[in-house]
Amino acid sequence: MSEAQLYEELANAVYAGDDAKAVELSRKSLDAGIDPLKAINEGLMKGMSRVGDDFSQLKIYLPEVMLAAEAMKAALAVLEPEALKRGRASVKSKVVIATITGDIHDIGKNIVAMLMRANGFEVYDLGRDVPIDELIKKAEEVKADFICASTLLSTSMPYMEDLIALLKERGIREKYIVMVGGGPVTREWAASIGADGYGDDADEAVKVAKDLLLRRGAQ
Amino acid sequence: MKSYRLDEVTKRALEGPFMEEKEFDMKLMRRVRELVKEYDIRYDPRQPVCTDDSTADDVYEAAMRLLLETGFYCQTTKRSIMFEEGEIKGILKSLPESIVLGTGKDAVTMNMRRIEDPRPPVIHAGPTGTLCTEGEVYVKTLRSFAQEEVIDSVGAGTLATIDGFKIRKGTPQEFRAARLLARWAREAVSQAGRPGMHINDVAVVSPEAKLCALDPAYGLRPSDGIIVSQMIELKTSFQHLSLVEHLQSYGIHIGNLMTPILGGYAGGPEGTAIVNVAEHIAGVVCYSASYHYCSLTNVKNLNGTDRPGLWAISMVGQALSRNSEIMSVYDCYCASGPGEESLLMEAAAGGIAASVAGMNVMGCGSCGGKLVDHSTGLEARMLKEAAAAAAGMGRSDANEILNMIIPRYEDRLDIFKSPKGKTFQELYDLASAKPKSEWQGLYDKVKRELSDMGFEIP
Repeated sequence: MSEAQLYEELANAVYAGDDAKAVELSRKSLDAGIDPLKAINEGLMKGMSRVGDDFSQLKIYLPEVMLAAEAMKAALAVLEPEALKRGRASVKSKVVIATITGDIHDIGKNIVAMLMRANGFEVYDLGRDVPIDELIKKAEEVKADFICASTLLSTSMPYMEDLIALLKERGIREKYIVMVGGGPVTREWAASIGADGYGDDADEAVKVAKDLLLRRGAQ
Repeated sequence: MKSYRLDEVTKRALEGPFMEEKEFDMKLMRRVRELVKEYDIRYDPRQPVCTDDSTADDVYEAAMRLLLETGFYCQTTKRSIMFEEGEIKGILKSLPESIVLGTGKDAVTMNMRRIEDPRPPVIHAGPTGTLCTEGEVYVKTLRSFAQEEVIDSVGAGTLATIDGFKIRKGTPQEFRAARLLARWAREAVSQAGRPGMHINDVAVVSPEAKLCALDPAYGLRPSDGIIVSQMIELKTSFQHLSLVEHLQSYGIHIGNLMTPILGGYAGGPEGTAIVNVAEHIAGVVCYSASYHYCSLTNVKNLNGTDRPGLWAISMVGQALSRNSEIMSVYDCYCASGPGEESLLMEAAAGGIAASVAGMNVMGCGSCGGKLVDHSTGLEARMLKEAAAAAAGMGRSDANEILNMIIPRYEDRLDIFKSPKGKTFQELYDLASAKPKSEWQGLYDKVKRELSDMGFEIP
């Protein structure tokens, strides 16, 4: 199997949610002397990217995404330690994410967290109905790059405004990229409260996060 | 509820098998995939309403197995409330074939409908969670529903503010909103000359805040209803069960609100139908609900009127109609907004699919509930009139009509591109709460177009 074929097979295994195959191919790539970081980026990430695109167009549904994420996780457990040994592992951007105060609907947040994790972010998922100061506390503790808040309820949206206000009040607004999303949240509203990013769906949220990170790096 | 079960439900929530919620989600997801395969349940986009009775029976059987195996998850205790099959069947046998909604001259009878039932469905109308402006606009919005002759029940708009305050969940303003929402609904039905009309909910989020709406003099009476939600998928909490406790003692109807997500943990339309039938049964056993709102939405577009959505809800309706006395109400959530022909087409399709499947109806939601005051009585009139006109229609005939209606809107379902229409204030005369000629004209036009398709609304 050529290197290109191996990457393609890795991507396919992730897409199919076949964790056994993804692990087997990961080991095979190490045995073949392939750079683990390259196997992650050219194989696993490409498979996950296809998953995100297809989920966004509803060609596949959440169970397929969850299984793909599991396969990705299993393969990373093989490749990442080796990449680390070779000093090839890149520093992951850190995301603190939660469904905000007052809301216990978490499926949207869970999907975003899953896709972010699968796209190489280090995700701290605080769960649901999380007070804004808890989000900030965790972000400070882990030196996060992102604070992401989600809600399905219009009555929890004001807490997103409060989050940004509290960051400003504490003089740490500029330390974080703040993203908001969820059922009633619109792009316009997100901009109006001073959030840095918003995604129509989980796939876009990941793309926006990557884009914001690049722009921050360029500054 | 004929017998009191909450002590037993609570006991099981405290003693059932413990698992982290993520484990429960994974267990449910995997088991549903297996059941879809085992029963060979297949969605066919050419048939928005499945015409095969055995598929409906399979969905029901698979749902019963799912509930027996996974239980109803209590988020508070992280334990599954487990049931024996015999217990469930015994409880299901006690369900009535009809219930009375509202009181006095405005009371209506809601029947357990069957597939292709000639009896027209009841409609629970209202903004169904769509954001509304507080005060007079809210009263007039609800009045626009209540004064529609064909509408049987109103309720359930959400407020963004109360007395100018942004409503945050769990604050005093949320409690005040619950009280005033009930008063304003009462005022709306009175203005419409239908003071005894069934009011089906106040759309605040905290279960404890809903209790503020119970007030025989100015708020909700035992002849009205309050929604108790399930969490996605097949989950409850002590907060919700505690609300059930008080609602039962007050004697008010309980509406079991389920919001299954098509494309979510349950997967596609086949799995979503199985999970939602299980949620109905759990709502009977644990909530003792009078009726059950099937508020299915698509994971991306927040609507339930696309082909997979209509297939799933009509499958749920048929599974329940053939195998139980569980009254399911299709909550019609649409992508388009008021003032748009496509909204009326979505409502017509939803009404037809639900009606022939043996369901009652609720609606309409629009624009994914994202936009303030995007809700009027006219789209609910279409939902009810289409559902009533489809009563007694065969499923194959319904599919022929649906296959003409759905193409009229299915390219406009992307929630971020769907036509948003206009607000209630723009489309209605605020003094009389009647539609302006622009919106009424569109309604008449759509009715003529439906007639040209061979679907006559009297």
